Amino acid sequence: MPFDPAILGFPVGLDQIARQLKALWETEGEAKTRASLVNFAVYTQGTETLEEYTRLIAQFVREHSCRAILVGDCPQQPGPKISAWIQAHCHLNKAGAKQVCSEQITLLAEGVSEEGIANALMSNLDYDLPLVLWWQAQLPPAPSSPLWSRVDRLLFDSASWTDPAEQLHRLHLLKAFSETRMALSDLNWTRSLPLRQAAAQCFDTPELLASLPSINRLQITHGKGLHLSALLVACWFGAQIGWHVIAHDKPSIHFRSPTGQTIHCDLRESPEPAPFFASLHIHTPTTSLALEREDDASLFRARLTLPSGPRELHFSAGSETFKGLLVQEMTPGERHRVYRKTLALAQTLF
Amino acid sequence: MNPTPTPNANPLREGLSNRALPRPCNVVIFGASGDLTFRKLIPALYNIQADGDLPSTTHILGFARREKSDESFRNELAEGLSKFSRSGLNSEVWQDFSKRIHYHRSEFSDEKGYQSLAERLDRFDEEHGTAGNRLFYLSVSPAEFEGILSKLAQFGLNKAKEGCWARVIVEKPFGKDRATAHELNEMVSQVFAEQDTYRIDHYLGKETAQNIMVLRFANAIFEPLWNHRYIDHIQITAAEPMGVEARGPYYDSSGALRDMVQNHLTQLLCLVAMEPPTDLHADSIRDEKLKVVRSMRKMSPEEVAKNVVRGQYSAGCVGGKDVPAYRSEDRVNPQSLTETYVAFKVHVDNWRWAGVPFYVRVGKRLPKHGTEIAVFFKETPGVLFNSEQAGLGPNVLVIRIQPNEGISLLMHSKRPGAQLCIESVKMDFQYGTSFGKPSPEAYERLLLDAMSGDATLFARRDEVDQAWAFVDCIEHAWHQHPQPPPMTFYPAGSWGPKEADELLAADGRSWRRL
Repeated sequence: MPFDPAILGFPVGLDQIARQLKALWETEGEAKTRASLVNFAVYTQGTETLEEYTRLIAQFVREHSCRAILVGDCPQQPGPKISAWIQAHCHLNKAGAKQVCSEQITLLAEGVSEEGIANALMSNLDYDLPLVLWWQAQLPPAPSSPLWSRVDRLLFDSASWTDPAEQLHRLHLLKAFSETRMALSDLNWTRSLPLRQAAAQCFDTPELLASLPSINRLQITHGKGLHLSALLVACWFGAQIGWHVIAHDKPSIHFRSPTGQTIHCDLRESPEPAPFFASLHIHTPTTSLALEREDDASLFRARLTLPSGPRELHFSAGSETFKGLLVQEMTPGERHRVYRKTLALAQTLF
Repeated sequence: MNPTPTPNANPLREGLSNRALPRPCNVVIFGASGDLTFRKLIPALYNIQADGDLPSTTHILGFARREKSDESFRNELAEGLSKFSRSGLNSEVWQDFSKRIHYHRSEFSDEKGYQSLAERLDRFDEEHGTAGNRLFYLSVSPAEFEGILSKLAQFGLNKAKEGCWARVIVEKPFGKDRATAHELNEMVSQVFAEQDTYRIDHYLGKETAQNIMVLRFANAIFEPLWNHRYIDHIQITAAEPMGVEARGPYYDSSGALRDMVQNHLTQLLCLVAMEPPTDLHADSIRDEKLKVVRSMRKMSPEEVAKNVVRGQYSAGCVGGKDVPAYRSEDRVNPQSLTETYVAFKVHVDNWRWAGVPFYVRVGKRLPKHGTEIAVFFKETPGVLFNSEQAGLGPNVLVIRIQPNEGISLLMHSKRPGAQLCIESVKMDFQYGTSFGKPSPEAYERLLLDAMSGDATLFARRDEVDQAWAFVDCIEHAWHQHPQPPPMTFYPAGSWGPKEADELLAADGRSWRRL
């Protein structure tokens, strides 16, 4: 195997997981508290990333107690066979306090059907707790497994989609199949949150806010291969201001505002190595906003050109690590309604 | 919990946060060289900035008498932040935040100081686009209120431009009694409308205090039991090992009843006892709290003697260290009759709480630090498991306000084995365990709310007035009645005077051990 199974904890039989977890808690010497607010399942294909995700889970549980279930799917391997490991991730919640622990179950499925994996995963969920599934692959073409009807929140990253039109269609099918009003959490959307927050805060400036309906040009420069990320941000502006799409000749989009104003939107890939979002430029007849991030800088610098004179502001550029995105995404909020509006506008482009 | 709608709302703000976002404004702190600014206010504003919730155009202006430059003020604050900020001091966040902090030196009575303040705020509005929104924080002694408020009015700083707001946050104490509170409120109301007056009670900003309503009204299992049919009594405790520290002169003129009961503990009692509000608007919630405080049975001097115990600590040992008696503390009257401990029984005279006593105690130099609300349910009938010999005791739901914020439920369970042996066990929920992210400090939440126009967690004028009406009856019996009940004494490091234990023992009950 191309990975070291030692990092996954103790190997256990698939039918012994619950019993061995109980034994794990009983045999540990020091006083510990097992904490769990959700079932956090991570589906990944192959074994290459199991170590990486185990490390990520160990960090993530410090802020979100959960039962983590990491699934490595190797459909091309001879099988069917499912191997299992268990372990606890413990940390002190504050100096001198008891250790707080979350448990991780790892399932390595070799030559197992989709139903078989779903069955193994579902039989190891912590009762009553919601299921958050982080799907680290292209979405399945037709949801049939009962797993999809049990998912409360689906995490995915549209930045990794190879065919956005097809993936959007599949996402729509999954949502319809779900019995649990499955919430959609696109890490690509979360990634743009600092940029959207910074832009929104710039528009708190009364002169800029007054010119919001007269935006006529929008330009977003993004990192390599991140056209969809930039497109979502453009559609967010559109959905929030009430624009509709009149033409899409990639990499440009043409919107029309409720007042009949045409908005030319350019989504440019940065020729230089760049973070996800390198810059955002907005123009109106009387004002402009330039929001720029230099390489590796943790701040966005905003330059506002206003009738009363120029102004410069700074904003946090947030975290682009998976851990940072996950922690942000697991914090409850009202973001998803806005995401759905944005997605609805984005779907008209395909 | 719902802010006042703001005109010209920015549509790009929708959904970016799960709370009402503060509007850009300039924050002016009167008494900026004081301890509160250093330990609480600036760390709170800094953490709001670190969390990305402070509008980028918001500037903070410290108004105080001492000679300082912007730079020296910032340096002092940076030092304080490294000690008191819950998230520490991040150089990048500080770099941006510090540029937005300014110092304004002036006497509180100096007209020129207010003239230049008005000019400076206008300039900030122009330079930063804060549109004239202003938040004034009076972190000064109440004796300074009148001077500051009248000067704010004189220079028009209390008047917001169209579509904007000017608000004032007032720190406790809100008066010394009902009459002085009335005067104070009158004074404030001549300058700021009630809707723009935010009386801060930091207990209400604590996560667990906010959770009381959620616990009661979002969980179907508790509300049906939350009344006189199932609840035997409720205990509210606020204990601290500290003495008066540097607050001797203030505390000696105030005492535990005014310092803690009139505000913090009455607010907690209201949250526990209130009826469900019709909605989550600030006034709907405050209307229900007001009904509770109005229903707290006022006591005659004879009833005060019977139902209230006042105590003062004598020399003793706390945390392994010898500590002096209250009367030997720095700048405290050696013959002081100020109480450092109060315990009392009060009834809330309404349908829900008929016959259910609320026992409240607060004290300094007690063995442990802790504020909690304990709800004691009625015991099961004395047959089957709860026979006289078994004496299982009641189920107790404990809401821990601080420290170790959380909720626990004491229940009974069979001990494994062939014998029928029943033990009390505790189901314990701790914020720190379940939610890894540290809770924001109370001042963060309250400052954010004031900037967003949400007054839910601030005391309304009529609430304050009625709380004083209750407290004044006790103060009257202690200080103006010809035969006042005696002051009791307790050694520092003990759980208070024996008379407090006797107060509950007379009802066949005892204080919960923290």
